[in-house]
Amino acid sequence: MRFGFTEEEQRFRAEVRRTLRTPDIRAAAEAATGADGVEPDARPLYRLLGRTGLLAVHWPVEYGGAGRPATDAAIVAEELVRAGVPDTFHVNSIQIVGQFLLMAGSEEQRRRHLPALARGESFASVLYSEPDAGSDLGALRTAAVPDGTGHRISGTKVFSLKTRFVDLGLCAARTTPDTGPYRGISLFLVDMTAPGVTVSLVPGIGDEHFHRVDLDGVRVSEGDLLGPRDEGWPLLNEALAVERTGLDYHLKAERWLDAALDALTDTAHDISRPDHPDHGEHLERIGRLHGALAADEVLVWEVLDGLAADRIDQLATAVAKYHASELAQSVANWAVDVPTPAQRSARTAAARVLDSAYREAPGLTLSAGTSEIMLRIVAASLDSVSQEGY
Amino acid sequence: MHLHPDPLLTELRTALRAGLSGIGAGTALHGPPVTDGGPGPTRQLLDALGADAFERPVADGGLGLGVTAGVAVSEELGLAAQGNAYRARAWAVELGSSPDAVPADPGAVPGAVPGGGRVEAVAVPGGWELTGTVTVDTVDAPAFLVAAQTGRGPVVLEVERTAPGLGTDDRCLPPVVRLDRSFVAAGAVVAEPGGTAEGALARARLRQAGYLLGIAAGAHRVAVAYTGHRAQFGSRLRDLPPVAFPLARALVRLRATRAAVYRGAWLVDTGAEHEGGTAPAAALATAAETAREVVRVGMQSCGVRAMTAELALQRYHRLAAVEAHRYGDPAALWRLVGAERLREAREARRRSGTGASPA
Repeated sequence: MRFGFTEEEQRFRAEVRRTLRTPDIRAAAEAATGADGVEPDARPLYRLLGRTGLLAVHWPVEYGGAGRPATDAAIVAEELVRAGVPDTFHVNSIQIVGQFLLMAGSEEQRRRHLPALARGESFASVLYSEPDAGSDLGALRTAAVPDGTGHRISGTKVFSLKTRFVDLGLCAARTTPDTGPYRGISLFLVDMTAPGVTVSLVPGIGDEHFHRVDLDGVRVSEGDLLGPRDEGWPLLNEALAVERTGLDYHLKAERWLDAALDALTDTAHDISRPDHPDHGEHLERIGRLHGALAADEVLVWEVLDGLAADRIDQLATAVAKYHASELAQSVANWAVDVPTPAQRSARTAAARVLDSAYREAPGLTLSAGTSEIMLRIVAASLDSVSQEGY
Repeated sequence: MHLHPDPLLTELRTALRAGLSGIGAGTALHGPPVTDGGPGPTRQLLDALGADAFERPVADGGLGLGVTAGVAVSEELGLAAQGNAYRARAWAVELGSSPDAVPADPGAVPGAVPGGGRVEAVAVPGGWELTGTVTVDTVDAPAFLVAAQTGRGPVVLEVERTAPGLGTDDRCLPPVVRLDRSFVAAGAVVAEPGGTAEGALARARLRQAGYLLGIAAGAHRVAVAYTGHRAQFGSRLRDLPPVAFPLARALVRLRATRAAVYRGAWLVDTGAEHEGGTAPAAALATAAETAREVVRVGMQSCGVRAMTAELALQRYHRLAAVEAHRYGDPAALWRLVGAERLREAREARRRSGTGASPA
């Protein structure tokens, strides 16, 4: 086993870090960061990042990537967050939809969509959840009806992020009705600017808001069908596993713990002084969270290593997603109390980050499969898990 | 990262598991849950496998598998709910003592957090007088390694069994060694602050963490098996969400603990951080808390039968009580880890001069 990175990986990380620390990227990242319920348009930042060639380094060159190993893509994802880049566009467009296109898309679909995503000129979102189909995607009602050489999609999708800014939607729809909850489902690539697509805002407590997407007879061609018709369910499960590396949640936990430590070591409030009244209590909590974070990183990389070798382990992904999202949420719930009234009043960077974190945190154990769904997957594995699986 | 187990380690585990399956587990409900220490029933198996050579460097005729192998051995012993006949000898050898000397639990060793009793050393002409009580793996030994507080910090001393004022008691678990103004010569010091004890302590913590991980995994295995065939309300217990979810959460916790423990061992073995930094302490605290919690969940899932000889869970339950705090209170270990993380944050803040969080 090797719990660290190779020299080449460390060199690459240093290079990425240097690239992301340039003044223009720092300024764009700052401008793209939401606060107090205001969600800026992060696309200018991503166009800038696209020009660095870092957004999809593991994709083949012909699709806009650099042909680097998949583990390098995870290194980039880590460094983006550490540089203060809001990562939802990267997670949705590159790590989920782009990655899924790479795995299951046709050659034509890859060539049509991937280069623009890699350049930060096009953005994507998943359209799975519906008003009556949240965790239970088998209940989805959105229908795709054959229409000559393509389909017309009608239905309503809810609770996706960034959707009013995106160009492409990965949409699950029922193509053959009355065949059971998990049959007759297909996946489509939907042009979000097409006639019949209406995107409206569903304001939430976080700095990133939700969306409702109404699809009214939206025309998609046969070339927009992703994978075989009616066989979307297994693909959907693969796509969900790709979402569940836990990496994005892990990075939030790391960032928020760093922000809390930043607030705690402020000279006016330095908790590290042994005479500080909260010294011992905070030390124990910091120790626990730091220890959990180190273990969490290993769980996440176990999944990433598997994906790099084209292996999807449903148990490992459920474990990583559950652990990372629950950890990030517990960091946020503790850290919201860390900034002092003076730090809140001064709107220090740490105070702003931790306020935003607390409002975002409830969504972490709901998105990409709730914690309860993850536990169900883990529980289902108890029959087959071997001692080595522990 | 590359997280596939080393094939040699897998082979070692397989051999151990096969051997351990032939060693009966006690079914007594009272008294020690295991026969602990050097002369315990697993010693013969460890000798047959040449376990003393696992961690020893290749240059010294060993296999050079590092503490990772010691962790794996300890985990397998815990998984089988056997005593840990491995750790004491490894700890003694690392402290530079004879392998026959039985070390007291390292609660008072330089750098350790309190646990396992406390001994005070008073300087007297020609040596020290020791007073206090410490826990050990076994009282059947020619000598004991005892960490004691002196006016200049903690030291580890080798105390002959025949030392004046030394008494033992193995009616309790862990067994204890009592010292009442027991004289030891100045030359009996085997480790001092800043010496070899630091690295030895890191490895000892990791072996104990491995053992606790094994105890937790073993209890989980029993609970999963039992709830997989016990039916209530017309369903397997494990198919009922109130039973399934805690067991699933326990599995997540086990995998996270495994990650923490083997990462710590890797850091120590590769020297990636000085003696693994705080990773060994974090691994031990994680494993101690996991063992107590997973065993508790197992007991709850299996009902009253878990409290009888019908299920081996009772053994894990009692073993976890003995072992979880043996190498120090987890809360104290966490404070140690937290203090170091806070120090790093303060240092990063000072270096950046901007108050920005460290990347």
